[in-house]
Amino acid sequence: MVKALFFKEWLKIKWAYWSMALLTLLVLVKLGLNLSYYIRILEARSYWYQVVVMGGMFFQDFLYLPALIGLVIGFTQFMPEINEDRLKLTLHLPMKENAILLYMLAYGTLMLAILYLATNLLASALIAFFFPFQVVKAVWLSMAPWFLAGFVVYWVTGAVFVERIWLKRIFIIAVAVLFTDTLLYHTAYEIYRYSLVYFFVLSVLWSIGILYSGYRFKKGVLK
Amino acid sequence: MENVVECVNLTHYYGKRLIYENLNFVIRKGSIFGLLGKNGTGKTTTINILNGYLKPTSGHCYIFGEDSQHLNPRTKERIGFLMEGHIQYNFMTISQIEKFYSAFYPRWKKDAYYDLMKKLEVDPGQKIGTMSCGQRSQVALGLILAQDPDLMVLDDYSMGLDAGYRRLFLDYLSAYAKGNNKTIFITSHIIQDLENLVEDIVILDYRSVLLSTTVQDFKTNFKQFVMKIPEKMDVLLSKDEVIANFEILKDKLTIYSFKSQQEVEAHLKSLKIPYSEIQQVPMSLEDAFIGLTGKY
Repeated sequence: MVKALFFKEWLKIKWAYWSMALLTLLVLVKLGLNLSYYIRILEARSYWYQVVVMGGMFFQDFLYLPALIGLVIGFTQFMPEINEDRLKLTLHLPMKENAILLYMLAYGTLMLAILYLATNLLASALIAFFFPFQVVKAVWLSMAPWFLAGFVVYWVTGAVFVERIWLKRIFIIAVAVLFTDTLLYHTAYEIYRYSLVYFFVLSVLWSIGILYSGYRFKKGVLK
Repeated sequence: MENVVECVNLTHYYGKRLIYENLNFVIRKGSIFGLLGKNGTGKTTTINILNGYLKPTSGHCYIFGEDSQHLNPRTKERIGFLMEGHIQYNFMTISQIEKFYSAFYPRWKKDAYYDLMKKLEVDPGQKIGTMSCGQRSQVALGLILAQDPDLMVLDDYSMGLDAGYRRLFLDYLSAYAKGNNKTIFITSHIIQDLENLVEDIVILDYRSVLLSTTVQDFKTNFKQFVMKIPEKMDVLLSKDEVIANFEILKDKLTIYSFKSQQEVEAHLKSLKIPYSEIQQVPMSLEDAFIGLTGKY
């Protein structure tokens, strides 16, 4: 049953997923070209100085990318469910309603995790080609909150779509924007190095928001 | 006889708007039950409550003895649900949707689905979203038949269907119900189709339940009397214990009643209505429905 549910989710998101994977690849290609270009133009010593001493964040193209991917995947996954109240069909499946919602969300989360992990591995390989491990690690720690924001945006999108009242939707979106804005802070490297674990815990809490929206959907709260 | 569905004192409000109050009905195992009413009288509301998508303001519905608000997965497995407008997963193809649903229902009958699809002459790779409303209705019906549920809940199966597809739908439905001890709960705004299908009915009016009976009893006991009255005469009539409903068109007075002709005539005489040429006119289920609920 779970396999069938995942099959349905894949059918909804597959085009968006491959499109986002392609976009990510383009951003990675751009990163590689940029690194190679600046090292050739500015010379390695000078570019290294700019990155290592001055803290130049050469990977800022990734700042909004995970959030965009989370939004697009969330949209393509949940929009068809809400369109014409199709979620009623899904919740009528012989499984517990909360389990259905959580499996749907888990599938999207898993697919995001695969894409994010691949992005990080490829980015790391690229960066490691030009910089030492310490820089790669610093980039990882700097980008981690951005990818966390991607998950939050995805979970919030799910909760917002399942929620039926616009005022509540706007409230959820407003709080989520404030939260993700914090995660997208990028004034220096590793600014969340010591608080990342707390932000991780707070972020994961957003994933259960869909259960509250689902409960309200089931109760028949009016649109 | 075992009751598959039991609704007890169901009352529902949307905000301050009362939909109905104290709706009570049972659906016997193996019967075909019709919930009839004009648009906006609460048919879909009742289906939403039955399926657990809406919490009633008060009252309860039980399906297979379980509160409809908390159906367990094994019970949901026994219920086939057709959404109003034959909504299905538009992004799936004919074969994908069959593959998807088959994983959820242990009694899945693949042949029942594909037999119906063969009649449509559609490609298994065709997306449901690209099909006509009639074709989609057959996909939705095929999926429910393949599920082989003990209870079918069909919310306005006739919506958007032409006469041919409606007939096809009903033919399959009655063949399914016949002899299989299956229970069907159906709502429709095309009453004429249901005449030879449903056995028990509840007729909803705005904010209330008009009638709960069998089709046979309704057609036997509810009568239409047509008579002449002087044209341009002010006739002061109102609904009462004898007159369930009435219509005046020029010199023609039509009275709908559960009483006998003698009782109606005695009543008209007591009201001093100058009628003549009274006769009882036979009615179809649709005539009777309109007679009871009115044309507006």
